Amino acid sequence: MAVEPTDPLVRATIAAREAPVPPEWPRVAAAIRERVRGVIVPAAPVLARTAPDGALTFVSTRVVVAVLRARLTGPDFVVSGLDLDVDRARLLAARVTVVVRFGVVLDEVADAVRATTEATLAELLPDADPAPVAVHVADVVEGDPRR
Amino acid sequence: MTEGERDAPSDEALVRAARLGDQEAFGAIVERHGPWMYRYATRLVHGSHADAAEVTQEAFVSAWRGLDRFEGRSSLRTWLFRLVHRRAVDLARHKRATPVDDALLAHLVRPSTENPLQSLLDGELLDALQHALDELPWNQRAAWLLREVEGLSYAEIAEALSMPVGAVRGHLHRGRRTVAERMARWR
Repeated sequence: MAVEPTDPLVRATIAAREAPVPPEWPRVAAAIRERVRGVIVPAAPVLARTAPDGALTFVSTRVVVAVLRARLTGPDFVVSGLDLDVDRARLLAARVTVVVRFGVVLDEVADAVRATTEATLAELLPDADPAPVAVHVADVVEGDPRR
Repeated sequence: MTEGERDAPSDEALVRAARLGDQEAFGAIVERHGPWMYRYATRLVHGSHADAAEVTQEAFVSAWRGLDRFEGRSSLRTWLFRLVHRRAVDLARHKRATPVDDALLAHLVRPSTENPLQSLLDGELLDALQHALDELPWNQRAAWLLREVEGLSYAEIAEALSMPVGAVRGHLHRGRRTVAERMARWR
């Protein structure tokens, strides 16, 4: 049988340490998620399409980043940065920063990342001039870089 | 460590994804660390759940906006404690003193079906501890909570409270002495 500490301060400290998650926490967490959804992330419009009648369609860089983030995934790398250089609604360049699993051929990972990025940009911004895509390997780690 | 915990993404992986705007990853950070931030905030702001909720919300919104500023020099947990502490300081500066509601702390004690008398006693001790903490100056209270309840190292507390390690030792020493004096009558 475990011996209960008799010192009141020790007992109180242990009780404080072992206190369960407060019951109102889920409400607080939901409020945090709601607030985060409402935070406006800085973004810029990028020209995506010019219709024959001259009508222009723009796509936010926030959308481009979200789609790239979803597509740029693999067992050997993880994306840690996506920077889009936009000037006057034109995409001038893209830079993808990745963390790569130790032991893989870096050039192959970089080529795959670049190809996916270029294809995605072409799909999202069909009428934009192709922008150069730079891939930056920021780190090499043991094990699954996604974890 | 459970299988689920082993498979769970690391804090570093969640921060990387959240920096790219992944709200699900940030939600996972909130779920992982939020309860302890909220608990710390509650004790720091004299047991007021409304104030603690505000402080915790503001801290996590700051974290979301400022993930790029998280350099990884400290752990994510320490960084979040730092943000909670700052928001609590902000709140205290702009708010009048509020009385402690003893009933608010009653639920913080883990209920024991085996020994209800013991649970009751622990509840009273915890109330007494909160009263003792409320009497401490701000930095002593924060240092005591981060060390004794949250288990941070001196270096981590220094990071969270933005002060040198020597100052942490001083605050902790004085805080421990005062809390021990206040709790002595329960012996």
